[in-house]
Amino acid sequence: MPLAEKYSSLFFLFALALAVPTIMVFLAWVTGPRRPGSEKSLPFECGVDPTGNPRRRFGVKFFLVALLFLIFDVETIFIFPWAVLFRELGIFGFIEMSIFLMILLLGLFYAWKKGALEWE
Amino acid sequence: MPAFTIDVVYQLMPLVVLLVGGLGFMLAGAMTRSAGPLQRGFALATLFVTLLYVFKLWGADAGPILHGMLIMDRFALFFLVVVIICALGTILISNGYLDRFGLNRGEFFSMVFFSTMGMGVLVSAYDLISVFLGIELMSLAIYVLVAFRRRDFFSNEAALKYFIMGAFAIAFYLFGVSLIYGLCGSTNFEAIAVAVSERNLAQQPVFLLAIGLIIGAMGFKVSSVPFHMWTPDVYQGAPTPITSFMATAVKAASFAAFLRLFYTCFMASKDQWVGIIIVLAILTMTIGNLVALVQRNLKRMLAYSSIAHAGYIMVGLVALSVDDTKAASAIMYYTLVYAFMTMGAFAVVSLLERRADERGLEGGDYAGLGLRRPFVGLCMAVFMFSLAGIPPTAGFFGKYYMFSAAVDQGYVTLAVIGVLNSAVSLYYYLRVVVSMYMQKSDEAAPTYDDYATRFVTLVALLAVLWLGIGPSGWVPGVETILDWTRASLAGVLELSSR
Repeated sequence: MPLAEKYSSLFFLFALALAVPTIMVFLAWVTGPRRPGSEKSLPFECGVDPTGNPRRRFGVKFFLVALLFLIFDVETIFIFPWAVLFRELGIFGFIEMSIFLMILLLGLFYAWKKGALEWE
Repeated sequence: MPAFTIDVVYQLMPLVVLLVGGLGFMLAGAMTRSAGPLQRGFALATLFVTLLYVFKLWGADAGPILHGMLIMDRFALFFLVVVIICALGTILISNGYLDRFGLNRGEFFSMVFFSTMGMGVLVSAYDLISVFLGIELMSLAIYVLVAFRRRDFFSNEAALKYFIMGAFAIAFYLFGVSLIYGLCGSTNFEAIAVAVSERNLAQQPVFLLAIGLIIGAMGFKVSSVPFHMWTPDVYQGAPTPITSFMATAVKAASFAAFLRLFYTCFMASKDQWVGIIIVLAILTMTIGNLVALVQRNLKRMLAYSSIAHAGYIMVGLVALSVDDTKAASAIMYYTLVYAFMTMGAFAVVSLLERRADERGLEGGDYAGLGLRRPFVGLCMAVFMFSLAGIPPTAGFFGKYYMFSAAVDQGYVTLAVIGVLNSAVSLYYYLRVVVSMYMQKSDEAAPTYDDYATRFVTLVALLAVLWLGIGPSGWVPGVETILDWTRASLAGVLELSSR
């Protein structure tokens, strides 16, 4: 089968990647001594004793900031290739980008008006 | 850029108007505390302007625009009209409802507009990527609208459920699209159609997998049976005008994309996928109807009835044929008819619904409605008859065209199962009518009155009667509408056979 020949090295790598850690974990499990203690069963936190529950509640305000950040992050992703090809795209690209930015600006205005940018 | 001329802008005008309307109402939502009659008037006017542009574009069958991303042909415009009618209905139904539930904000209209624009993209999509764009734009706005009763637990639950399941469904769709792209080398409908018929892709199992994934995602959007679990909860939790919008516009737009995709791209391999759709259609009709039998809540019953109707429409998808546009034209006619009767039924429901904290709409709430409110009761009775498919209502003719198309293509068993299902559905539709006219009125159950909602029921009533038997004249009758559907489908076929 040509498919198997073409990808045989890939399959081999996959099998190897699966086998090596499995064998290592298995060997460690078979040969290693097991002496569990209260100290050892603690979750590992860079060697420091764990303090408190990791599932803490935090302000919903952070979500709002993250959401706004995401929008403007995506905006950058759109603007960057346009800036690189600015000369080729010419006036057409400029108008297209202006429409896109206008819509985003309106969104920012909305968020601002609704008090999404105020921390308190 | 040669691809972007003033003519293209002109063809995009319906979408542009909807976008501007959406942005405008967003700003209005930011500036004002609540939306008054002025904003509602503006919302209706904007939709009428969109409708005007659609009518102006009708007739000139234009080719694909924007590098083959969209196409504003008659097929797209037909469904755009259906969707805009649904949006108009939603805004009219919401007139009294929003005040009553304290939801009267500009954002409501903004989201309806964005969603309608998404549907516009979806029905005119000519590329798998623009289908994706349309579905997402439509759905994201709908998620927000479902959660619009934001203090209400059920509304929030519905939105979250819909959102998470919708995200999964669209992921399946994208997986299917990526496989199609790998097989055909393009996401454009025309290129896919060429690749499917010339390269004999139908023999490849990966191709079948891709089609299966796409059917799954589309099946989710139209709430076909193995993918229907969200429907009753979401329909019940959403504000009633939005339930109406979901049951009519979302379904119409999704079926439009479903139909165009399969009609232009995958007809060459119909033998491979038709089995999947047959099974889905049978399951959807049967389970939808059987579960609807035991529903006590009116909104849930209508949700299951909408599932069953998705099954009837899928019978049309089974009977699709390149030589005969009968089945496809039946689908288009059915979507229009279904939009009117469902919109009317939900308009009546919105008049019955009490405050959010009371879960209304159980049997007693509409008992005696026909005697207490003769006009509303009469409308509801006609919508129920039409949904059940009793002549001379339009619902009967929709089913008649659908099943006769299936028989023409040799799917007699499927048509028989469909007819038997309609018979089953009679029970729960007529139970509502019986309860409205023959049970004692519960004086404690209030009904609200709102002129705009009553107007919707009136228009829907006339449409349901006229679309069934109306002769063509000044108002388009059945024959005219069927002619329109045939003309639009001829355009679709002509493009795909090029």
